Formats: sequence, C-alpha cells, structure tokens
Amino acid sequence: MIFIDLLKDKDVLWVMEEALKCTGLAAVIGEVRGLDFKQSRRLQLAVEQSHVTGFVLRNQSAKIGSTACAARWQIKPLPSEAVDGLPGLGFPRWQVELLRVRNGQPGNWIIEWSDNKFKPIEKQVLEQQLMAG
Amino acid sequence: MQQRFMAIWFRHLTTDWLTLRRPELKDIPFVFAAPERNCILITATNPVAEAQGVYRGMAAADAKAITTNLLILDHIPGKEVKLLRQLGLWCIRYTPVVAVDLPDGLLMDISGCAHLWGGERGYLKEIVNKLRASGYDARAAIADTIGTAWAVARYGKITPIIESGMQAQALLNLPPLALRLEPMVLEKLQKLGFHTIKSFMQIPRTVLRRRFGEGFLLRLAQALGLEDEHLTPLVPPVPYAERLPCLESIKTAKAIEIAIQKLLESLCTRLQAEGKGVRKATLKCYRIDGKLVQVSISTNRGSYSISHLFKLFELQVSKIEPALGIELFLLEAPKVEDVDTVQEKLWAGNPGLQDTALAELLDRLAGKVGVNAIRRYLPAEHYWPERSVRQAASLAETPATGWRSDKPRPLRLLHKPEPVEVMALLPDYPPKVFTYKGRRHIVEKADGPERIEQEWWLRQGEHRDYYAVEDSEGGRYWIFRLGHYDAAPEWYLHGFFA
Repeated sequence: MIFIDLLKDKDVLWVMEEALKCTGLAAVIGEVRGLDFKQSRRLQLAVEQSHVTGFVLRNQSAKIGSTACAARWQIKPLPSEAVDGLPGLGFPRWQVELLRVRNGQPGNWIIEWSDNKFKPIEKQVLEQQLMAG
Repeated sequence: MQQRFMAIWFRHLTTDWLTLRRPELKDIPFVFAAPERNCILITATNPVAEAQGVYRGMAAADAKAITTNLLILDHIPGKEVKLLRQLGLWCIRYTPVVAVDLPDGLLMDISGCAHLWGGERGYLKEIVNKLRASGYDARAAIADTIGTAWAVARYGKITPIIESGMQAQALLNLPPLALRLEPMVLEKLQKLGFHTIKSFMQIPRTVLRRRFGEGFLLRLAQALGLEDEHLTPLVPPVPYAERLPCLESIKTAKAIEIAIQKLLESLCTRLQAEGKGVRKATLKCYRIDGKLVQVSISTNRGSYSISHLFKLFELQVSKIEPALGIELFLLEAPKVEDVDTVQEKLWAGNPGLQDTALAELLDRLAGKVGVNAIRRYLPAEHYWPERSVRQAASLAETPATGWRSDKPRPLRLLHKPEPVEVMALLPDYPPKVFTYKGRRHIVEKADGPERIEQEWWLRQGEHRDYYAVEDSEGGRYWIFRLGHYDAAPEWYLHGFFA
C-alpha cells in the first residue's frame, strides 16, 4: 500500500486520475472535500479504461452534488451488540446504504465484522434482538 | 582521432570586468596594483593605460610619473580564478572539457566539436566574437597540443589556427616566453641570446638538459606534441551525457519537447545497448543570455524507456524559462544502474510492487507532487504505538517482521495523541463521558485497559492504559490515560476504529 499525502483537492484528483489509468493497481482510494460532476466523469472514464477500482471518500457530507460515478454508498457506524450479554465492545457494526447505483437497485444493509469476515445482519435477527433487549 | 586544443587568452581580464561593472572607467587609464616586497607593483592594466606605456610588473610610482591621470585600484585577490571559472562554465556550451589556465586563460579540448559550427575557423570566430561582444578582450588559437595553442594565442602573429602536425613551424618565430617556462630559465635564455624558439630548436637535447634542466625539455616536447599533457576539466564529464546544439534559438514548449525527445532517443539507445537504466537525469538548457536553467528527474528504478522518461520531463517543461531562447541542450544521467532486461519482461503486468507500470506511475507522481508526499509504511518491532510503524526507504524494501493483528488497533492512528476531557467513575475504570474537540461523547461500552509501557531502552516515560470505547452513536475510539490514576489524570485520544 502506498500513501500519497497532498494538501489540495486538485492535486489529489490529478494523482487519482493518473493512478486509475495505471493497470497494475488493485484499487485507488482518494479522500477529498468535494467532487463535482466534471471531475467525477474524468475519474469514471479512467476507471472504465483500466478496470481499476476507485473509491472517492467525501468527508463533507453537506456538499454532495451529483456525480458520474457508478455507485454511491453511505456508511455510518452503529452501536455494537453485546455478545451473549457480556460487558465490553461487541463486534463492530455499520449501517451501509447504497444510495445510487448504475443498472441496479439501491439497498440498505447492516453489516458486522466478526470471525474475520463481514456478515450481513438480517432484519429479523435485529428485531429479535430488539425484542429481547 | 587527432586531439585538438584551443587556448583562450584574456588580455585584460580583471580590468575588462571592472569596465563592465563601471562603464565610466572606459576611457580612463586605470590599473590594479598590489604591494610586493616594499614596492607597489601593477598586476593588471586596462587598454588605455597600456597605450600610455604602463605594463604589468611596473612599479606604481613609475607608472604615475609617465601618465597624467592614472587611477590605481587595489588588486582583488582571487578575482581571476572566479572570473575564469565563470567564463569557463559559459564555454561548456562549446565543448565539455574546459580547464582554467591561471592567471589569464582558458584551455579547451575541442576534439570533435568544431564541425557543429562549420569547421574550426567558424568555431573560433564564434567564441571570440561572443567573448568580445560580452566585453572581454579575448584572443584564441587552435592547435594539436596545448602548448602550441597557448603560445599562438599569446604570441602568434600569422594565423590562429595551426593545422594538424604543423606545431614546429608555428613555433619557430615565437619568443621563448611562449613556452610557459620558469622565469629563471627565461632569464638564462635571454642572456645567451636565444630570442626565438627557432634558435635553440635544433640544439641536441642532452646539451639543453645540462644547461636548462628537465622542465625546459618537457615544455618544449609538450608544445611539439612529443609528450602528453592533460587538462583538469572544470566540470568532471558525466559518462552518460548527450548534447544538442540548436541552429536557431528555441523558445517554445513544443520545440523543447522535441529536443528532449531527440536527446532521450540517443541516450536511451546507448543505455539499452549497455544494459543500463537512468535513475537520475538532468536537462541543462544554455540560454542565449548566458544563463543556465536546468530541470531534474529521478526514477524509482533504472529505466531506458523513452516514453516513460519523456513523460517525466514533460511535467517539468513548464519550469524551463527560455527567455530570449535556448541555444544548447545538455542531457546528463549522473546516476545509472544495471537493468536486468530478462527480469523486466517477467515482472511486467504482474500486480504488486515489482510492476514496472507502478514504478513509472510513482515516478510521474513524484515529478508533479514531490518525492516527500509519497509514503509507504512497514511494520517495526516496537510496542509503543507511534513506533510500531516506520516509513519505507524505497519501493523495493520488504518488511523484516509481519504486521501484528492479535491486539485491537485503530484504523486511524493520530500522529500525536490529542488531549480529551474525561469523566471516569472509578479509578482504573474506562471513562463515562469524554469531550473531544468540543463534542461530548457518552461512552456506552468499553474494553480495556491494555497497558503499554514506554520502551525504557529508547526513552523514559510513563506507561499508557488504553481503552477501546464506543459512544452512544456507535463511533469507536481508542483513548488512553497517561500513568497511574492519581489526582489529575491526563487522558488522550489516540485513534479511531472503523
């Protein structure tokens, strides 16, 4: 894994585009403040050419405009559930929302990390836990 | 190939320099003088003073007596060396091997350089005219040996270009002064009535050695080309370098790119044939106004790929200021390394750090955003969280130990722990509420403590008790208490879990 620390969004996007054009990479993750439609279109075109997966993390959720990306996710942490009523932290959980996806259905899941893998938690299980709680 | 040398003589080096600095001195006779053995002697004169009969080595008082308004200035020690160095660096556009010849000359090895200026006559004319136009009164000569070129530049009267093998004829009518001899030997020659080189050239060597010593014979043999003489170049020549002089000065970015492309083509063919690759390369652009602009690139691994190196230079083209125009491009590769061509084929297209595509990408990024922005981290064998990760020195470095995954560690570790205000119920209990950056977090669940001691062999300090806590919104944090629980415990936030 290689880290590139940059100050400006403009540089981040340039580096991201260059990296996405490089076929030797597994994935490119960029963290920016904002992303407009034109910039996202450039990145999307680079991805389509090289088939490298790219993620853009936008940390100013208030300023989210429309983009040309294939999918948009929103992920929030959720309080963990105690395992068998023991004190301490449970397995970490997230609320994963697929807000928009090209050629697909948006969805909403709760995912838990346990036994070294991600496990989706079914709605019924959640309700049962709530009832029991 | 027959070596050819050029000697340049600056008749009024320091005074010309001062006239350039202070144009009002142009028509005033002035000299530089320095005290020597209780007497102030003249070290340099300007042409006006010289016309009035003042010469170098004269006592300043005598000079004052024969001229009306002579200006005597203090000699500046070391000025000649500095000026000659500057002029020598400027001359590198004509040949890579330039040497300073104290006190008032330059020596250049011009073998194979002159044809670019249409022969030696054009070459010499170009250099002398340029030097004169910039204000230095220069004389130059070209010959097979350094000695003859030196002699003809200073004392020659017929032609400045001595054809190959004609040194003896050229030297015949010159005074013995032209042979760069010791003052003692010169005096002796003068006393014995040898006023030209012709008069002692035919005398047997044994006789000359007995009378004038070995140094005299060496100088004579060097001038005639019987003995080798070497130059100490001003700038050590780089083994991998390409030159591209331009007929017309170059001003546009497109033209600079074409020049780079051409230079890279010739350099890379050479490197490829020798199985080498560029690690560092510098493009030096000599401008018409005498300035030098240069840009450098470096690569993560040796490369002789023209397209890749060109891309690296392309990012830098905007940094080259052509001003009035560039007349010479010089591409140097000061650092090259062996490239295994077989290995190259094996690794290409293989995902991982060995991939050439990745190395090329990183070179490009480094060219734009700087090398310092690119980081790679490796695990280090330390318990203290800040020290458990270190920066990798190169792309090829492999970790000496594995990443530890037995203890919970946050996804994001802060460089420096940030203080938080905390309310804890009981000693050695996790906090109930903490305030970070003005926001209150109510702790719902907590794990810990995990005590991490300061590594005493590196640094003294208090231990830390780490707790992993989860607030009511589900955010998970890594916070610690410094030292034991006492009256005013200090709490810090050190990381964020996913």
